[in-house]
Amino acid sequence: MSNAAVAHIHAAPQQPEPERERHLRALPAPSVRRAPRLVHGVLALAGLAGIVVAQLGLSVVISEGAYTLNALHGESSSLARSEQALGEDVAVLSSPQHVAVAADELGMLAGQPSQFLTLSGEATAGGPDAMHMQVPALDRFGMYVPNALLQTQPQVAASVEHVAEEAIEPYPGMLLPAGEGAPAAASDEQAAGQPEAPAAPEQPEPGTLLPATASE
Amino acid sequence: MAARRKRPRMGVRTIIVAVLTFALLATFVVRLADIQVVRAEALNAEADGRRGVAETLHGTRGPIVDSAGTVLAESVDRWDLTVSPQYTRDLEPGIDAVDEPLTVGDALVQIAGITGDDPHDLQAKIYAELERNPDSDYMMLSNGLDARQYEAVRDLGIPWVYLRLNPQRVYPAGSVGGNLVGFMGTDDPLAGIERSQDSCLAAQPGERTFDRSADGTPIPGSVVTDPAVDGGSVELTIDADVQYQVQQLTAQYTSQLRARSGTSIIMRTDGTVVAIAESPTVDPNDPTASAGRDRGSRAFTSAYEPGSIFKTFSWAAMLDLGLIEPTQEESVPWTYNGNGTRVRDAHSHAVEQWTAAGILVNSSNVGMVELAQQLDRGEYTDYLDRFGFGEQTAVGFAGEQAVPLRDLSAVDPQTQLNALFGQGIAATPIQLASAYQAMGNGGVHEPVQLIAGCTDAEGEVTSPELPEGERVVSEETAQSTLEVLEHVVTDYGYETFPIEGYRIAAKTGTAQMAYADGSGYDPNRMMTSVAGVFPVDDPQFVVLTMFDSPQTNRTSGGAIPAFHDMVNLLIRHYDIPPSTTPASDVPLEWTADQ
Repeated sequence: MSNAAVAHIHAAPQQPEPERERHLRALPAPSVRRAPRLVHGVLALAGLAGIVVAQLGLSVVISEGAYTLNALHGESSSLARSEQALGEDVAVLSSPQHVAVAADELGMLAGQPSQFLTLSGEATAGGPDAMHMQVPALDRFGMYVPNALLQTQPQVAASVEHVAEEAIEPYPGMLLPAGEGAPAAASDEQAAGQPEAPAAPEQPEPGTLLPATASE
Repeated sequence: MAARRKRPRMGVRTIIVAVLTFALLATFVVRLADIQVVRAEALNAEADGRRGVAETLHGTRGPIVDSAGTVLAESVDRWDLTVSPQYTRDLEPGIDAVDEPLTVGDALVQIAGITGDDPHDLQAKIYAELERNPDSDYMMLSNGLDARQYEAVRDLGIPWVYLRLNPQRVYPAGSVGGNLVGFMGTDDPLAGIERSQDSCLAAQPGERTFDRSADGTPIPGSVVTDPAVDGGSVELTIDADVQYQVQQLTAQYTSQLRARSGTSIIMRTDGTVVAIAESPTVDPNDPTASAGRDRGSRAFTSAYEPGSIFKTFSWAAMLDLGLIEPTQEESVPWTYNGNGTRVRDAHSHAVEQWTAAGILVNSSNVGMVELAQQLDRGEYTDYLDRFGFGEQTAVGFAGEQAVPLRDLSAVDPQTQLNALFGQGIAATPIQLASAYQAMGNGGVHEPVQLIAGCTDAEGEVTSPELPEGERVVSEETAQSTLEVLEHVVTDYGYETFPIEGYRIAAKTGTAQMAYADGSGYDPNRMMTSVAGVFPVDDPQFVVLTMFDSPQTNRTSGGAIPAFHDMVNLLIRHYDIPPSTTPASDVPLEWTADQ
């Protein structure tokens, strides 16, 4: 300790005393605590109730949504089923067999082959000659290229039956081509409505090259 | 003093509270671990069993389409109509959702009206099932209901009827490509592309699990879906329109010729297949309507001794080796004897002064033997190997034959000669068409391609891995061979053969058929065939048509109109312009004066 400090202590012994005494200091006067206001309680409870109601509402909406979703799923799969059914119909109707039979029915013929202009410009070069095989897609034994799905198409089924009936009109003393079964057996086949495999041994006019004439 | 006394008491209380709290917490933790970890699986299973439902999601088997996207095979939804026999009962208003009483009989009449069955049959089935097992809870009453029938049955609202989804395969084009496409059994593919491309077509089933409420509605947030992966789509190189018409022609000629069967192959000169027709054919919608032997594709599975259409390859090999010239002059009798071998032509004829080209055009066996005096049979075998004989084509069709190639330098002298004109050597029709493809492709043999690619559910396309094309003969050899074969069409004496304005190269064949037991050739069976390439000035298509044992015309003349019509068809379908160059004038005969 320096002399100056000692002198200081001795010189003024009284002054710092009251400050050192103040260990405890009075706090500023606390604000008076009142009982919670009613409005706060009401607000809190109302908030709580609001949350509960909102949650309830939300879950109602969600479960409502679940039912709507389920119903829409049902509708969607029902529509998908109709789409598929219609698509199947279209696929069968656009099959080559159906197109061929329907075209025959309408009396349509194969178009002419394209003609080609030669570069010299003097003439058109014709396409190919006629086909040797000129028979309809459908004969009395059914289609040459069968399609079981077409049996469900009433129009085609009618055509098949019509062709089969037209081909065989039995009469007493009817002379059948060699190898042909009895007409009764043939009409049984029609009744069954089973288009026979095209390579069935029975075929008209053995030995003819061009059955186009045979079918007339 | 009082404060000092209280202090330890408060400590004890705190400790007691803490211990109790901790114990409670520990209990909860243990319980939680027990539920969440130790018994989690069992509890989950129990919970799922109570509320949870798992349903299998069926993916859709992929379609098979042609090169233009025409669907040849696809999967559609069908339903099985099942009933619970022990609960079949009359329905009463008030108990059931019906307005007036509905007896089982009436219900069955309504069901039968929809499915097209006989109601008595249905009733008899139910009685029989109840007789067998009075507590029976399941029986299939009818299957294959389509969407309209499904909805009609469902709308009847009969509680003891349950409709079960059972997707099925349909083939909208019927037997168009039926032999190639193949068909499905109950679950498994049985033939054709369906079988060989199953890895592309098959779907991966998925699963959907969810908790359901009392009325079956899935509880939101509980649905876990592991989606099914649909099968891929297989695209073929064939053209369904051409396929249909070629099939129709093949069937018509088969029946006109009264042949046992007919097979036609149309191929582009790059090796892609346009059409493969078989007659009798198979309708994959109803495969049992065809005999078992008609359900595959003979083009791939029936090897035979091809006969004269094979001469093209031996002739081209000799030309390529420089052993012959097309104009080389030969005197050809109708029989040949030497070294204990004997060869005859199909018909007796005087000694003809044919050129090498004339020998091929007139299809002389003896002439071929004369030309092949210098031919090394080992080299010839190598040529045949490069033409693709002796191995399966790159298609790898279900049940395809390879027909191993023998080393012709190691066989007996007679077979060495016979192999020049297609006897004592076997090949499948597709191998023959593929070898003609090399002739039409400037001498380069490309692998046969039937499958253009597989497009999976994500749209990723996988093309089949094909071997590289291989040069068999030089371009000049291929071209001059085709020019000689043009004369078969124009000078062979068949008016039904040529198409004016178009240069067509073709070779006919009437092959003998061996008895099944190998005891020689069956005089009553033969395979008539025509194979060709056109247009010669710019080859685009290979056509092969063949008929087994025709009865009304036993010569290759029977197959010629069929070949003509198929070429004609392709010209019309693809608008092929007439040839702009004149036919070759290679001499077929020679005279001593020249």
